[in-house]
Amino acid sequence: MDSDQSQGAAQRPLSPHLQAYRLPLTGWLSITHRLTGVLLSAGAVLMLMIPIAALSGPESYRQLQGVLASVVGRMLLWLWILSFIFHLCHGVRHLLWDAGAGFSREQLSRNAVFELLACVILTALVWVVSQRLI
Amino acid sequence: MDYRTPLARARGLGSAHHGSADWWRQRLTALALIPVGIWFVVCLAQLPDTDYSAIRTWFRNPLNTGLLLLFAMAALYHAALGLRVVIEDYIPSHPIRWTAVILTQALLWLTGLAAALALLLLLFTV
Repeated sequence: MDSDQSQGAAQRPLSPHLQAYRLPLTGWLSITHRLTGVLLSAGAVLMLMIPIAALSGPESYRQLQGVLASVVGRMLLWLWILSFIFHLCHGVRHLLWDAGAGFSREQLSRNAVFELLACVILTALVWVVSQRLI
Repeated sequence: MDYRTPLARARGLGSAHHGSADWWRQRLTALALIPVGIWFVVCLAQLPDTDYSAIRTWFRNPLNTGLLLLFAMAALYHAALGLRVVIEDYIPSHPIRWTAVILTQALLWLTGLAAALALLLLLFTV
C-alpha cells in the first residue's frame, strides 16, 4: 500500500498554494515558531556540551572560546538568542490561546505586531544586560 | 451518546490513545522556561568574553549549577515533545518516523545526562 501511494502521488496534479497565495503574518509567525524550535533544539544540544568542554582543561577551552568570540561565532550565538526570544514571545501567545484569550481577528493581527516588537525589545534588553550596562 | 467501551472510559486517553499528559507537560516546561530561559540567554550572551578561570569559578556556584540544570531539564523535555510532533508531521513512512523519534529522544536524553554529570563534576571537583 505504501509503494502504491509513492508511485501515484508523483503523477497527481497539486493545487498551487504557496506559489499563488500570500501567507498572512500569523501564518509566517507560526511556521517561524516551528523552525526556531528545531534550530533551538539543535543549538541547545551543542551548548549543553560547553560544561564538558570546561572539564577538558584550559587549552581546549581556550579553543572553544576562540570560536565563540569570532565574528561568525558571535553571529551564530546571537542568532540562537534571537530565535529563543522569538520562540518565547510567540510561545506566550500560544499559552494565552490555551487559556482561551486572543482569538478574534483584530486581536490576532494586533498581537502579531506586539509579539514582533516584544521580540526586538527583549533581544535589545538581553544585550544591554549582558554588557553590564544596567 | 458515549460509544466508548468501559475500559476506554477508565483509561481516559481519547481517540488518539495518547491522553493529555504531553500537552500539559509541554505547557509546564514552557512556563518554567520563560524565566529560566531568559536567565540562560543573558549568561550565554556573556560567554564569548568569559575566559577559562572565570567560567570555572562560575560553575562552582551552586546557584548557577541549579539554574542550569533546571534549564537543561526543562528545555530538553520541551524540545523532545516538540521535535516529536514535528517529526510526526513530516515523515509519512512509519518505520522511518519511529526511528527518527527514537533517535531524537535518545540524543536529547543523553545530552541531559552528559550535561548533568559535567555540571556536578564542575561543582564538586577541583
